[in-house]
Amino acid sequence: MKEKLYQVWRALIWTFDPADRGEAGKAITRNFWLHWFPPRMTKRSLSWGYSLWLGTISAVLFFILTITGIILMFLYVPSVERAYQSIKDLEYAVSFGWFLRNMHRWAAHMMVASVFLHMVRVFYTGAYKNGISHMAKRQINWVVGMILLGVTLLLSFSGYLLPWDQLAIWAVTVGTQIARSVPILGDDIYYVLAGGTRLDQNALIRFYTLHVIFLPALLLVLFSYHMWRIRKDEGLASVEQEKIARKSGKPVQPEMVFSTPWAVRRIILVSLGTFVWVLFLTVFLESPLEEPASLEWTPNPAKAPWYFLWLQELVAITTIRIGGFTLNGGFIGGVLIPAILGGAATIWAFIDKSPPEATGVWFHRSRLVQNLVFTFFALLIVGMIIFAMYFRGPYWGVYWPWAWPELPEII
Amino acid sequence: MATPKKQPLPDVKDDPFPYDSWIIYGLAIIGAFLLGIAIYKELNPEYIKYQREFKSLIEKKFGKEVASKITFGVKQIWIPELGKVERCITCHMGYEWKGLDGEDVPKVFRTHPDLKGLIAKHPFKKFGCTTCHGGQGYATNLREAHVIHEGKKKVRWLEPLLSAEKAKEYGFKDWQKLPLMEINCNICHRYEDSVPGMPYINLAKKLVEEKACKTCHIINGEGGKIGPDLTYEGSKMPEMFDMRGPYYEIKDGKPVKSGRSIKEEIERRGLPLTIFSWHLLHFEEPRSITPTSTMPNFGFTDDENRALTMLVMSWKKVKLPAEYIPRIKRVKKVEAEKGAQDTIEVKESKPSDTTQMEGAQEEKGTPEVSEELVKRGESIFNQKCKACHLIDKKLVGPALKGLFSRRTEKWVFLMITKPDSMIKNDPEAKKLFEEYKVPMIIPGGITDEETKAVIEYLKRATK
Repeated sequence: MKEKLYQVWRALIWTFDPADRGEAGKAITRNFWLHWFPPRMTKRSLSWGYSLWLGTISAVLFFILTITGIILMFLYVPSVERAYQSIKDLEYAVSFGWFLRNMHRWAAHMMVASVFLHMVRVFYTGAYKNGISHMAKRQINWVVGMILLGVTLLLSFSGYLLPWDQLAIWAVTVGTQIARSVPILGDDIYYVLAGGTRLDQNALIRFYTLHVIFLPALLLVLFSYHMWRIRKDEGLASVEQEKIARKSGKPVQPEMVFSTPWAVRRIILVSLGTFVWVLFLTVFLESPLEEPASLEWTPNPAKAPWYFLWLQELVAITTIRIGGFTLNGGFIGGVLIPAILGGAATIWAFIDKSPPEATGVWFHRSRLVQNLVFTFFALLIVGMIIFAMYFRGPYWGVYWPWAWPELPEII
Repeated sequence: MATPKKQPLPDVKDDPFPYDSWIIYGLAIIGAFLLGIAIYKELNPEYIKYQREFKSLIEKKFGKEVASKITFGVKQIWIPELGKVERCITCHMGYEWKGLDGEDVPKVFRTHPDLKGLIAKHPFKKFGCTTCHGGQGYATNLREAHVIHEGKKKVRWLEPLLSAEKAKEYGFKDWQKLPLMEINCNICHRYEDSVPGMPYINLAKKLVEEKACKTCHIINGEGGKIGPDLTYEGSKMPEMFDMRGPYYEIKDGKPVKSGRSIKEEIERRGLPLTIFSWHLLHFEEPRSITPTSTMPNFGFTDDENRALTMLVMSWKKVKLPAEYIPRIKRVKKVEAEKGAQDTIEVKESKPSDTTQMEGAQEEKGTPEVSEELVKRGESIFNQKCKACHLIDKKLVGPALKGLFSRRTEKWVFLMITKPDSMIKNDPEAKKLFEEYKVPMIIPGGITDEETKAVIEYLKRATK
């Protein structure tokens, strides 16, 4: 009876029933959407504990962003006269406008976080190492990943300006002024970004075009290459552990799992979970929209987007005042230190000479020191972001979050 | 030929991840539930209950047929010239209806008052709602539309709703007439001296003339530079007011720290913590907020304080299409100026004999002083001097009581006509400048003849 019920249930929800392993594999390789997966994967690389599925989560978020973003393009007007108004219309007049905007916004913030955490996971598991594989060149994927992180930040940053409210224009002012302090080229970089000497219509249309065409296309290309490389590198780095175990003569067969249905189901699960989480944020949290953008008055304090707050904090710390003389920290804090950190992280995959055994495993003992150094910097960045977000008040002074000086109303 | 050996599939029931399906089902249910909430939120906006209420009200008053014409959804007036969208009428549906002005109709749905007068001049289609009332036209919920700051989260909007309740908080006796709205009237009516229906702004404008504010302040692009430029005072943002600063009390003519901050003083008086309250305090006694301020305490009444506050807060930087700028009726003023010039011309020819100051001092006995000359001196004094000098009270400049017992006539004459060189060279003038810190500035300048007239007037008035 139980067997019979199970058969009916299967017939109703899962008609695909491969006769043998070959057919099960072809179900993957002959499917347009799934062909970039191998027919079989190791159970470890599909486990929650190894990868935390952060890469998939990022990809799903990008998918949500693309869909909501394309619909938003029908509703948003990239002009200084109408941009703010079109966001207000989304909030109050367009059917499900608030839903689209919230979802796009939350998915964007989540994506910045998940891509960053993905990078952290890859570092801790030594997943940019090649193990004993002769084919793998995982360092390349690490570098591509770092570029993808950069593109994600730029995508978020360019989207930040589009509502054209005070939050947008001043956050982007802070960001672009930091870019301006690059030596020699600084003014040119600013001019290229803003299309003029101040943030106005030219800046808006440039940021808009970057945001809706150039950066997403770049991200898509890099993402495809990122996925292709995983195949060419013989899968996630955790497979190296199984290879090493087999080579050492232990009679261990890696536990292989068919991609269909097990991996596909798990991908569906992660996609659904990500969507539900974003949906939860969308339904219960409002997206802020401040006063219309005005360069005539500065909110006090004016803060960069949260993921750049650590740069702003660095700029503030490295700005030194001796008497009437001010040494602007824009270059040291805003350009030099992040460039050194980012550059060092990017080439670290080529410098790390830990043994192959440290590949694809969390916190291998041989990588203790570099893990600690990495943790130190990661926590420093996160700590500075939290500090600048919650403890920096008017005139960039330090306040308890609950003791911010109260600003008066107008009337 | 051997057929390739088919590898058997592992049993489907050997699910490597046995909980995955259940998690998917769970997530799907949560997701469906959340989507349900989203759809519910979309279909039940806050305004819908007002619209239903309005419909039933109309049904009761005018019958089913009339009520059936009322449709639900967002209603708006769009004014492209002003870049405004007014969705206020989504809830305030009765604004144009006739016969909804009774006390029995809830306030939200009442007909807008004075449709034939004020509204005929300022039609809804051209001015909308927030142009006069303030508030947020885009919004379709109460909190954001009325810019209500209660609770923790602030509504980010620059135009507060100029409601009767707000007016009551500031102590307006006629708060029910929404006097604060005059602030917005004056955004367009800025350059007119007097407009019917704007008693507070009219009073304030009169005071600005009387007290010669332009002596020290730039207003509408012209004036003195001692005080700050007030042309766009109304566009100042909350960030520019530090309410934590100390509040001073005036003791023996000197500002002394009261021990309270400005914020505490505002709260002590039961005023809301706003820029408006800051201005009230500042007009009452400028030195109570800026102890080094040279702006005098003019002794304004509470009504005058409020009127002036409304006036400075109406001086906003707003781009107006030409069609919205009212015709400025200057006829009266031009006539008045003409009249003044005429009198000057007539009287200038008369006292020519006594204009030489050197001679005047040496003359023995009081010279014949005509009543007319004294009167003219008085009018000039009121026009050009009174803003800073009173007879028996210290203001920006010293009190003038007993002036000629302290100073010679020549000294006074030179002080009025050449204050700069006097401050440089005369020890007495130097001392005064150190004490008062403001050089003497005479709005519009003064001729020797006028000075003479003023001196004749002062001779009598300061005795």
